[in-house]
Amino acid sequence: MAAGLTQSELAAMVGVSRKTINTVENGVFVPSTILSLKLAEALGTRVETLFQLPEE
Amino acid sequence: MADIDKLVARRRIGLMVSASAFLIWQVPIMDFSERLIDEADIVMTGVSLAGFLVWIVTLLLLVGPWRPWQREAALNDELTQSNRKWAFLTGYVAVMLATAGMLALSLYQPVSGIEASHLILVIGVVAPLYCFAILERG
Repeated sequence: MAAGLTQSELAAMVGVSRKTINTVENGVFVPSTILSLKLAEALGTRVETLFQLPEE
Repeated sequence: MADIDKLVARRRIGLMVSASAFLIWQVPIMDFSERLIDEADIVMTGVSLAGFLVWIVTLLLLVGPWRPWQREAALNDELTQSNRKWAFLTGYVAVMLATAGMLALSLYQPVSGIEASHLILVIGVVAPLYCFAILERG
């Protein structure tokens, strides 16, 4: 992971399971706005940097 | 493996055991099973009873106040809630298919109401449990 965190560490920081982080990272699961904001805060970045709309 | 991952795996296994035990308990006492096997078959009665006991124990472990995931928000996070919705949807589809199947079958041979409702009940209980457990795989 780019911020030097493991999936488990990031999961613990935002209060979800490691599998949730894994599925978000792989694009299998689309998180809610609240979880997106928590992830961005935990990683010290902006939501737009983490998630982008798929290119058409 | 982190503690949360262990609890998720334990819950998944518990659900699989619970669904299997429910099947083992219910299938031998269904009308069509009783027509196939001797009603006084002590082995089948024992298997069914064992299934019932395992189901009761797993049910208590899964829904009792001592369950650890009741206190862990991470065990009921967005992905879990999404998986639960999919599991219920799958259960609904399975029940509808079973109902349609029983309706079609009744056109060719008599099907009692108890027989049909018993089968639909079993499918309605087991399908969401298996589906959720499969979706929760690590």
